[in-house]
Amino acid sequence: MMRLYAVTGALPRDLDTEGWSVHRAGSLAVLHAEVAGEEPGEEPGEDETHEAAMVVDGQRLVRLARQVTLLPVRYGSRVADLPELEALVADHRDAWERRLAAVEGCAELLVRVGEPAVRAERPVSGHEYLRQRARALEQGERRWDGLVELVRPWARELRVLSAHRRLAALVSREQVPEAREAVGAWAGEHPEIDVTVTGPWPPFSFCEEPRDGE
Amino acid sequence: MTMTVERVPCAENVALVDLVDRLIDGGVVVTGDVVLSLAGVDLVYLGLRLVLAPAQEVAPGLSSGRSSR
Repeated sequence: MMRLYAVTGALPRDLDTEGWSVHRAGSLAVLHAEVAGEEPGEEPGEDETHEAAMVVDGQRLVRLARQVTLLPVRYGSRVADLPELEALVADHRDAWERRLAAVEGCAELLVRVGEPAVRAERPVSGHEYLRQRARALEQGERRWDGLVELVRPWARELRVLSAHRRLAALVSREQVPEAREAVGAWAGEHPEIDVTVTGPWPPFSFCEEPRDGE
Repeated sequence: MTMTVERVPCAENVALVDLVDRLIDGGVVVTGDVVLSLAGVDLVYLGLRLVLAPAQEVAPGLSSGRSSR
């Protein structure tokens, strides 16, 4: 079995892939590794579910993404053999080339927004509680909209990962510090909300074409 | 305070959570085929789209009450 890690454009011959193999297919390359113990009837390898191995692979992807434009493959994706991999590349070549062009030179920033404090005042009645909660949610929505608009100028693309909770922004690598600083300043103006920014990540959330409204 | 991440005591943990979340819930989704077999006899052929997702997104109540590793 071959575990797939990333799809890239043409790779420099001297690139250190940190042990991953490279399958070159025209303008594309796929980073992969042979995995043992996953044949039918065998127990999965120890690393199959091991979070530490996942983190190591993820960090390897992060390092490689600083050097080349890549599309991470969803973790755990496998093909049986080389012919299956070649067929996969042939099926997805056009889409992958389009997305590689879309994410070139960019990284993903994740902005996570905490739950707004909706019970700052002790409700005196059910009606009062609902009124306070509605007000808090409305404020939370307005702040979320403000945050999205704040990030938008830096983002080539945006994805809302979970409504009013996490936002993924595809940002030029050069502008990552500026974008982070802007979100940090915004958070400083809204101390009642927990906002965290992580990244730069490989473009995990931008491997597919944007849907309408994104 | 310029970076909000500084307000969070375990910023590295937040980053790790985001990394793992994106690894299993982001990225290129590949299609594949599988044949379910029993005792060496092929029973069912399925064309599938394999999607791994965090359990809490598939079933929000599933992870409640479970300790995290």
